[in-house]
Parts: sequence; C-alpha cells; structure tokens
Amino acid sequence: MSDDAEYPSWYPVPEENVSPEPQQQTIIDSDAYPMRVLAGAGTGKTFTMVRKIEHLIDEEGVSPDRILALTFTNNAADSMREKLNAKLGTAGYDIDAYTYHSICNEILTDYAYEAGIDPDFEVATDAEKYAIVLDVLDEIEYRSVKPNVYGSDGYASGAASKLLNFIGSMKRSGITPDDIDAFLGPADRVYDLGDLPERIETIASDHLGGRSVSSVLDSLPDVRDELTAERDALGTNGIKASARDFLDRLIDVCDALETAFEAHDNGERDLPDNAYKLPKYLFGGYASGAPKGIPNNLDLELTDHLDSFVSDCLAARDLTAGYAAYEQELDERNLIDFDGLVVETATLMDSPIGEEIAERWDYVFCDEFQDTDRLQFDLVTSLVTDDNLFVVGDDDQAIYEWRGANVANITDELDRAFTALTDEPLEENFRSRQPILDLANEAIQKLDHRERHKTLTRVDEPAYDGDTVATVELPGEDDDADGASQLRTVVQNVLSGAADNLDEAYDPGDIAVLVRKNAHATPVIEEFEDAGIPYQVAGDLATESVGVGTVTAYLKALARPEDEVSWNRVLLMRYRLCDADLRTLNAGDEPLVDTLREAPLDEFEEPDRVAKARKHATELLELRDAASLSHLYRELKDVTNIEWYLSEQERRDLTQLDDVIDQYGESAVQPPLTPEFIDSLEHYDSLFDESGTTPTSQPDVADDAVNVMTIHKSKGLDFPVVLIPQITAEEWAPSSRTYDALETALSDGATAAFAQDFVERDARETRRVFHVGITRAEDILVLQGGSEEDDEAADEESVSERVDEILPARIPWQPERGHLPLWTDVQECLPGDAVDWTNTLAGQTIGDVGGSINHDGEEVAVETARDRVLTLATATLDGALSSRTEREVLRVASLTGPTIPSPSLSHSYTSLAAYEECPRSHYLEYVVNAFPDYQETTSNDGDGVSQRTIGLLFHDTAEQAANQGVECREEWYGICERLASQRRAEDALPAAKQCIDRYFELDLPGYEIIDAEREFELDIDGHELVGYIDAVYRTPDDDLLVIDYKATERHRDLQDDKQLPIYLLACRDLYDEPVTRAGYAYVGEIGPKVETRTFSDGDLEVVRNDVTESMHRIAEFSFSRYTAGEHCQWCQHNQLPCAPDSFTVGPGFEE
Amino acid sequence: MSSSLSPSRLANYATCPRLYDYRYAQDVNAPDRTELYLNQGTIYHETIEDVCTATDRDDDAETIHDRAMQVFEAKWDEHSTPDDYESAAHQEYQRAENRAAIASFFDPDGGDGIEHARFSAATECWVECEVEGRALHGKADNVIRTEDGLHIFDYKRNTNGVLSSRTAEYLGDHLDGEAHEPKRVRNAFQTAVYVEGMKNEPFYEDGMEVRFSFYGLLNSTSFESTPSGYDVSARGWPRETTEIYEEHYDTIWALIRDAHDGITSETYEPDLLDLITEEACPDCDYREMCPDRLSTEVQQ
Repeated sequence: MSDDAEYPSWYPVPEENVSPEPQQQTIIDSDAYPMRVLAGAGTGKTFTMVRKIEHLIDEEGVSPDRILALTFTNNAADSMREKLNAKLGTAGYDIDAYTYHSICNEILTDYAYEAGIDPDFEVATDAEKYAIVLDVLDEIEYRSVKPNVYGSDGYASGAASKLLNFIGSMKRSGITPDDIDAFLGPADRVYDLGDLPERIETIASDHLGGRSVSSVLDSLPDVRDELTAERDALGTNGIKASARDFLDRLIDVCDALETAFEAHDNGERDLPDNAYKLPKYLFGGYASGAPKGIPNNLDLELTDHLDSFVSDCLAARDLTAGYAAYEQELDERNLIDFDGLVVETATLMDSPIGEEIAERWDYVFCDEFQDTDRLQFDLVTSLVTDDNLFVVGDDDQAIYEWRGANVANITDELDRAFTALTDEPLEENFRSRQPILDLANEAIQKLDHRERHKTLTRVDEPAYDGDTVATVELPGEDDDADGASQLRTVVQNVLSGAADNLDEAYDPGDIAVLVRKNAHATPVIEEFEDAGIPYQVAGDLATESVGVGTVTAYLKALARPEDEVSWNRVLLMRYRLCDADLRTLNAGDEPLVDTLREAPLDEFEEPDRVAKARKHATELLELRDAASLSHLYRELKDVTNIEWYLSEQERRDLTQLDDVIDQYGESAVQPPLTPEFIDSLEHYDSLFDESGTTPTSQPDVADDAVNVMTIHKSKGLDFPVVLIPQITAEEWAPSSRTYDALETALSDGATAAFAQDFVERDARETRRVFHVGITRAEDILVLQGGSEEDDEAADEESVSERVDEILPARIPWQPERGHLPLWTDVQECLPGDAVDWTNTLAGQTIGDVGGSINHDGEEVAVETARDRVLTLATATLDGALSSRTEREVLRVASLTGPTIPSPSLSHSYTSLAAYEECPRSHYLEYVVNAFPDYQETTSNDGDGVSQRTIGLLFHDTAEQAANQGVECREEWYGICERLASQRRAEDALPAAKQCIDRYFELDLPGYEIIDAEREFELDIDGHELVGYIDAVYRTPDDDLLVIDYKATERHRDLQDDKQLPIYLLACRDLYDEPVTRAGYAYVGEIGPKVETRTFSDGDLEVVRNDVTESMHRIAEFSFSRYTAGEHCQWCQHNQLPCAPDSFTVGPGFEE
Repeated sequence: MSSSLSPSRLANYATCPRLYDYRYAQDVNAPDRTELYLNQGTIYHETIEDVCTATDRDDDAETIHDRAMQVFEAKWDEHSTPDDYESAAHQEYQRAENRAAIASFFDPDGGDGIEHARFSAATECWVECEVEGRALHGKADNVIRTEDGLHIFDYKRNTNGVLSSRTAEYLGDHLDGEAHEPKRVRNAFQTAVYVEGMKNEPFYEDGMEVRFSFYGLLNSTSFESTPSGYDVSARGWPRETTEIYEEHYDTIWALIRDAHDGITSETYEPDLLDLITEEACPDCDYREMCPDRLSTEVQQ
C-alpha cells in the first residue's frame, strides 16, 4: 500500500511533514485532565495521542518515564514507541508504552511478592491452556454436560471445548469459581428450577386456551395467581432471585395483557386479529412455536429465556468444578493465563500497595478505550493519580462487547468515575472520501441507544474522478447465490482500472475484502483462486492450502514417525518420488521410516531422490528432540528448501504457520516438537476460533495481495478499496451467546439476567461492526447485498407494532428482535452520488483483464492457453507429442511484449556491478525480477544466519543511531536489540553486536555525523542512477567524508572501485561544499579498519563516462548474453546452463 | 482360482480403488485413529458371542440377562483402556451407554437378545462361497435357527445409513457411476456373501430360508440429567436386507464382480474421480498423501 517500498511498515519514520489539524492541536496543547476524546474513524486519534505525549515531554518538561501509554495490540504499542522515538530520540523509549495485558505482566513481575505469586511465573499459551483443560476433565461434575470429549464433529462440541469456553466467558468478567458457587448453590437448588419453565408453559396451556379475547381475559387472573405462587415459593438469593425476577416480569406481562384486553372489550382499543392467542403464545403454552395467526418471526416465546438461562446454569453447575481445578492447575504450573493477568493485577491494585504502584506514573494515556472490559476499567482508574488521565476511543467502533468489553466504560462509567472530565471531539477525517463518510454518518444514526453523536467530515480531500460508493445487488436464487463471482469481476476491474468509472488502476494490496464471518470469505477465495488474483487471508491457518499441508505433513512425520501417510505426502510433494519408489518404501512389514533410512539405494529407480530424502529425514529426526520447535522448523525449511516448491500464494499461506510456531510456548526455552503440538495444530481452528478475533491481535497486512479478513480484524487498518460481501438480514443476523444472562447476573446482580435482550445488544454491535467496515475505505467502497421480498411483511409489521405497544416496559424483548434489515438501511442511507455496479463493474470485465495470449495465430483466453500448455505437457510425459514442422510459439504479451527498456528502469551501483559481471544475471535480477532457482542449501553456514541479515541490522542500527544522535555503544546495542526483535532476527544479534563493537574501535564515532542513509538520485545523460549513501562524516579537519559500511568479509580495491566515485558524484548535488574523500569502514570479521582515498575531478569524470557507457549498453539488455565465472557461485540463477557445472544441483534446465 | 476376498475389502475397493491400494496393497500406516469405537465393537460382539455360546434353548430370561451383564463387565475390563479416552469420565460414560445397550438387548422382558441367544446355531461363523469363479468369505456374528430356516445377524453400533428398501435403488446408480454409495454397497456385499456362504454350511439344509439382518444395538440412546449425576439408556432394533438382496440380485453381483476383478487385476486407478473426490476423499485416511486428490487441488 505504500510507495515507499524501501522501508518496511515498522520502520520509524518521523512524521515531520504532518502538522496537526486545529481540532487535534487543541487537544495536544490542552492541559485539561482528565480528558476524554471521542474520536471518529480515521480522525488520527493515535497520532493526536502521540503528539500530546510529545508535547508533554518537549514543552511541559515532563519526564518520559512518568508517562504510561496503554493500547490493545503489541503492534500498536510498538508503533507508538517507534513514533515517539523517531520524534524524540531515545527519550521516546523511556515512555512506558504497553498493552493492557503487558502492563499487568510488568506490574505482576515487579510486585510478585506483594501479589503473592511466584516472580518466575509465565503466561500460559493457548496450547498450555488446552493441555490443562484436558487434564482437569475429570473434575467436571457431569450431570447435564455430556462427558464426551469429542463427538462426530470432533472436539468442537465436546466437554473440553465447553469447559474452555465457559472459563473464557467467566474469567473475562472477573467471575471466580467461588462467585459461581455462591450464585448457584448446590446442584439440588439449581435442579429445583429445572422444571420451572415447563410449569409456566403448563400454566399457560391450562388456562389460556380460550377462543376469544374476553374468555382469555377471564383466565388471566388465574394465570397471575399461579405465577405469583411460583414466584413466592422462590428464595431471594442468587439464581432463585433471577428466576423470581423473571416471574415478576411475566406477572407484569399478565397485567399489561389484562389492561389491553379490557380496553379492547370496552371498545377503547384495537387489537390485531387472533390477539386472543397472544397470551398463551407469550408464555410458551403452544407446544410447537407460533400458532396460526401469530407471525412466526415475532420471536416472543418469553419462557424460552428462562429455559435457556436455567440450562446455562445447569451446565455452569457442572463446569465450575472444572474451572476451579483449571485455576489450581495453572497455579501449580506457575502459569497465569491472559485473562488472569488482569484479574491478578486488579486485585493487587486494590491492595495497599496499589497506591505506590500508581505513583510510578504521573500521566496515563489510554487508546481504544471502548474495547476495555470491566476489569481493565478498574485497572486504569487505579493507575491514575491526580486525575491525569487521557482517554481516546470511539463508542461507534465498539465491536468487542461480545468478548466482555464494556462500551459504557468510555461513556457513562468514565463520567461516573471522573466528575471533572473534559470532552474534546475529533471528527475531521483524513482517510475516506466524503461520500463514504456520508454513508457512515447516516447508517450509524440507525443505532439505538447511541450515546454520543459524531459527524465525520473529510479534510483535505484530494482530487478524484471516479465512483466512490457502489452497491452490488446479490443475484437471486441461481448458481451464484453468494455473489462471489460478482466480487471477482469487481476486483478484476479495479485491478485493470480500464473502466471509465474508475480514477485509476489499483494494486492487489490496495484492495480488502472485509467479511462479517469467515464463511463469507470462502466462496470469494475460490473465485480468486480461479481468476489467479493473489490474496491473503489474515489469521487463517490455511489448512486447505496444499503447500502448507506438505510443510505440516513434514512436521507431523517428524513428530510421529509411524505416521506413514505424512511421510508419503512429503516424499511425493517435496522429493517427487515416483510411484515405483514409493511402493518399494511402503512394501514389507518394516515401518516406512526405517526402510527409508536403511534400504539399499539400488532398489530404487531414482536413488538420488531417495538418498536426499533419507539424508534430510535422518538429520531432522536427530535434531527433533534436542531443538526447540522454532529451531527445528527453521532447520526444516533450510535443510529441505521446501519453500522453493511452493507457489507464491502458498508461501503467503505459510506465514500464518510461521507465526503459530513462533508463538508456541512463550517461556524462555521453547519446547521441542511433540505430538501434542501437532494435536493443538489440528484443534487450532475448532478450539481457538476466537483467538484471531480478540482486540489484542492485529494481523499483518499483505501489500502484494488482496487482503481478506473479518471486519473485526480490520480495525485500525485502512485500504483504498474495500468490498463488503453478503450484506443481508439473514447473513448479518445478530444472536445471543451462551452464558450471556448468567454472566450478566453474576456481574451486575441477580436481577440483571433478564433486564436486557442480548440479541438486541448484538444487533447494536452488528451495526457498529458495519460502521467499522465502511470506514476502512479510502477511495472506493463496494457493498454487496440484498433483501428478501416478503409479501406478508407489511401485515406482520403491524402485528409486531401492536404487540410492542402491549408489552410492559420491563420486558426487554421486542417483537422481531434479531431482524436487522441492514441492506434496506443501506439503500435509505446511500449518498446521492452512489452508483449501482450490479450490471456494470460487477457484471462484466472491462478491458484486458489478465492479459492476452497468442497461439498459432489466434488470440486465446488465459484458461484456454493454460489448458493447451497442460495438454502439451501431458503429451510430452506420455511420449505422445507429435512432431510438427512448424514451431508453435505461445506469445504472452506481458512477457514478450515491448522490447524497449521500460522507462521505469533505474540503475544503482549494485545493478551496474551486476551488469558488469554478467548481463544475463542483471537481466534476470533487475529487469524481469526473476524467481530465484532452486538452490541446494549449503549446510556449512553454521548457525544459519545470513550475512545479509547481519549487515542490514548493523546498517539500520547505524542509521537510527545517527538520526537520534545516539553516540554510546550501549545505546547502539539497545537500538540493535529492538530492531532484531521486531524482525525476529535475534539469531543475528550477536554478530551484529560484534560489528558495533568493531565500529566503536574506529575513529569514526568521534567524528560529527552529517547524514545517514542519504538517498540520492543522479541524472546522467537521461539515465537515472539512484542509491543511498551510508554515512557522511565531518572529520576533525572540517572535511566531509563519505563512508560505506561493510559488514561482510569481502575486501574492496579502492583503485578500481566505482561505488565511492558514484557517491561523490551524487554529493555534488547534495552538499554546498566539495566532497572529495570517500572510503569503506570494515566492521565485519576482516575489520575493524577504515580505508579511504581522495578522488580528483578527473577520476570522477572517468567513472562518470564508464557508468554512462554501461547505462547506454544496458538499454540493450538481453537474456542471451552472459559471462560465466567466479561470480556464478553467488548468482541466484546458477542452475542455468550458463553457469559452470559445479554449481548445478539437480538435473538442470535446458534452453 | 482367484484369491478369496471379504465384503469389507470389496467395499473398500468400491469406495475408491486407491484407498484399497493404500490400505491393503501397500499397507500404509495411517496416523492413530481413535480406537474407542473399535474396542467398544469388540466388547459387545464378544459379549453377545459368549452369551450365545453359554446359553441353552431353555435357559430362563433372567439367567440370560444376568449372564450377559457379567460377561459385559468382564469384556469391558478386558478391552477398554483408559488410553482410548481423554478422561475417565468419558470412558465411564461410554461404559454406561454400552452397558445400557446390552441390558436392553438382553432385557428379560422382551429383549431381542434373549431369543438370539436361545436359538443361536453358530457365532463368529466363517462362511465361504464361490460365484462365477470368484472366491468370497466372511464371518457372520450370529446365526439363529428360525421356524423356516436360518437368520444371520450382523451387530453394529447403529443402523443409521444402512441399506433400506428406500435407498436400495442407489445400488444401481453406484454401478452406473451416477452416485457414490460405498456404505450401502458394503451392506449389499455383506448380505450377498453371508446369504450365499451360509448355504455351504453343514447346518444348512436344502429348502431352508436364509435371512440376513443388521442389528443396531445403540440405535436410540438418551441422556437424562439428575441432581446426582446422569442416566443413560439405549435401545436397539434390526434392519433386514434379505428382500433387497433378492430384488437387486443382479446389480449386487455385478458390483461384486467389478470390485473383485479390480482387486485381482491390481487396477487401482480411480475411475470416477469427481464423484470420489466429493464423496469419499473428505473422510479418507489417505487424503493427505494421495496424488489423485492432490492433483485436483493443485490444478485449481
């Protein structure tokens, strides 16, 4: 998404050029605390917060270590730290920027003694939690929970998964096993209520079967009496109080019905037809749903709410013992789980030591406050001293209520806790085009109970000529009911940019498909596969990806060598063994892995392949028990070079597995590969389907593929083009969740269980989810949806309305609850310039999509061409290729197209050097950007850390140090460590630190640094030559000196060198004073030393002429010219026949 | 003469020739599948076998029931291992369910098992036959003497998805390659081999009627929650396939011939890849290593 491909996204770039807008400036300069900023989407709330912190340090003289900044994701905390660092230098690093969880980890580590925990505690991983849950299964008191651990659908519905979910729900709200015990009481007490729903239904069916309003009216007092008797028989504590409250509400319904029916009898009130059936229906007196005459979608069988509450309580009664055992087990293993971190810290903050802890900071800054849960709210308030609190968030973007977030934290709760609260708005949006914001503003108005009203307005909108908000109507009930092919067509059109309605062509990385649920992504991905559109699914294990499957199979085979299916998979897909050799390996009684390791190679048709598989398998199996999982995995990839066999899409898919493995076991020493890890991988999806959707994790975004993710995961991100599929009432229907009522009763008191409709709550959240989705878009928003036509809808609506009028205020459930007419709302809210793309950009592709191919004089579609190639290939394999006199050539315009150099070709010192060495390697590397050849990994590179990684780490450290004015070695170390951890390149750290050590032995650190990583662009005779100068120093003699750092072992000859003269030529444009001296600083193993020389104008002219000539020659770049030699050993393409045979690893290629 | 094959092998081949190749021809070891249902099968099969063997025609119902419960407990201890279960509670639950099934089957008050035990002519009865030069064999769980002849029973956990008169027409579709119905084809193979094989047994007399039924011991189970724990109950019933065999005789034998000849000639290339990919691959133990399936994925 960024043009600045030189810098990865984590790279700290000071936002020098961005100056705050007036609204932001007010907030930054204000010294009013506590302050709350309700900031709409895309208004730069984090930017404002960071600037406010800067202001405090720079202008108010607050010491950075007195400031605590809290946010949700590690990414956000890191980026905040980086931004402050880029702006403030090292002082930025002294700010305590934490996530809401990591601050707890920090406090608990520092105050372990006071918290009564072992200071060596570790945070439990998902896999560890799962293992503990399996261990405590026998502690569950099975009565209503079935003891099955797995069933026909695997583990998802089994006891382990039930316990895990239960613990999650309770612990997030800070509910302990003791709390639940106290609420429920002994099993008998819960079972007393077991029949209550049925008894209520019986009361209804016994008394309310009258056939007219007046006869039913006559029976209502009896019903009330019996309900009252049931109520009075109940106790007033815990679960009984909840049931009692429910009956109270039903009695209110009796009263309300009586009033309405009486009014009807007196001719004062109109009732819907069949109103006499309503009471029996409301109390659940009909055995099977709504009777004829009552609309089916009324969804008001009230007794069902009690029924599901009671069954949740019954399940909770069984599971609580398992929860308690889980807690105890965590304790014994010295682990604290994620939720536990906050629970323990909140308790600690409540103790006398709390105040001392809070005094560590003068200011507390909180980001994304709407996502905090109750415990986190308490935590934050307990950390605040002197009311110095700054909170930003957006109640319209609160989408984690279902995971325990308390939206009211940012509104009412904050008002209650801080009376002197100052409110400042942020409504100026820097992201989306105004029509998108108009839609967002309109649609969010439909949100009931919206506390604060914000209207987003775009500032500094750039010129744009194209459609912005587009709708696509889902096709009717035909083959493409999910409309995935429409989206494929839209994406193809957006990529080609040929249509008049588009301002420009977009790259795949500019586009995001944001889905409500994962199921919406599946058909779209299939279409993308078919169309060859690159995509990346965020946070998905991509278990269906064949390439990932092969890598996983390798791990499985290593974990369980008796798993012959996995060995066969690996032997087939990685080592490409032929069927005969696979049969030889599978034959006999010996386990396959033994045959692989021992059988004489001459038994095989392709012994080389078997030998290679044998070598790798033996090596990896030996490593298995000693190495950590990550290490083994890295070795697996290195030794087998398995990634080379994967397609680009598959390599993208694999990154998620990389992450899972990285995060497995957070302890200092990562465990080795075990069968348990393999199991956890297999249950990953079913057991931890929520792990990707917590506010604490944010996915990495692909910049070269269409990003497909849930809207939840897209929070905080933005994309030029956003597509939201399948917006229909059915697909976006809100729902309630298990334990909703119980959890609320435990948190807010017994009578809270039935005080709200959790489906309504979810409906509100769904609207906010939609709002988040819409506001991700910058230029184009494509909404795809539809609504079912319903003839009876109007009738039913009037019934619903009139029923709603009858129901008393204490009944939270509304008729037709859960029906969210989102698409209808979209239609009503569309801005005037919205367009319908159904029959245009979603209907057909415009222009050449996917390029054209010529074969045999005819232009053919990509699919046809592909099929022909496959047919020919098959024919070759079968030896059935008929010889023709004429040679057929497939011409792919994008590959064989114009032979003139593309104008964007720009040169650099390295590309010129490559050309000098070998024109073919230059062509492959710099002109067509070719895929590297398969390379046998050299196993003698020891620790497996590449020189390149070390070099980059040193260079970037030097650059940051220069920019921050950091001059001492320890601080260089600090920067280097941070960079290494961000890049997961800890392996390279020791070597990079040695480079730093060598650097500090040189004279250079004593010189004044003028410039670092200085970018230049030379125009020589119309050719563009670009590059970066590592460093420019001012020597004690007041001369400028150009230095290029070399962390490698290769020594440069200063006499023939062209790199330094090029830099000096560039310096002519960059500096006002002449620069004549340049050299290399060797910080690698051949250092430390600096070698410099002076270049005269004459020297530079010679080089200039040489370079010009080279660049002229490169204009005729071609594949056919090459020079073989020593350099071939480093060439990425040395499997071509041009390289000396000694470098060839496989059968080789032929031209 | 060709090698003798069982209905189970034939059915594997009918599911997918490549599956047969991996499972039987190459004997590739699949990762541990859950053993618990396999072991439970052994337990109720052996319980019924032992009870039938020990029972005389005039034993009274209570005696048979008590015997069954005793044998069940012993068999459970013998074959059920905690390793099969993630928790002791799960094992206990499965024990309760199986126990309930045996108790119901041998219910003194009208349980089918009482008659099955009293009139059992043979259990675990090895049968063989040869039809059109193709040798077949199998092992019948229980053979019961009836007024008109013999009734063979095959005991299963449940008879969900077992061949019925309503679904028998799918056999022809499978033969024609229009549908993929390996489970029902398997039921048909069992019926054919046992019915024909029984005619070669010493206790078969000319003119005897031979019937075949599947019996689902746990066809219906219920779980009832109480303040002190839970109660489970189970009930079973038979499903007879004799008539289906007679009505679809030609189709069934054509299917047997196809599978038998395929195995004998070592033809393992799957024919109807599309159907198999859709119907058989998702549950196949060998899906992760199978080039036939992987090639369809890679082609996308």
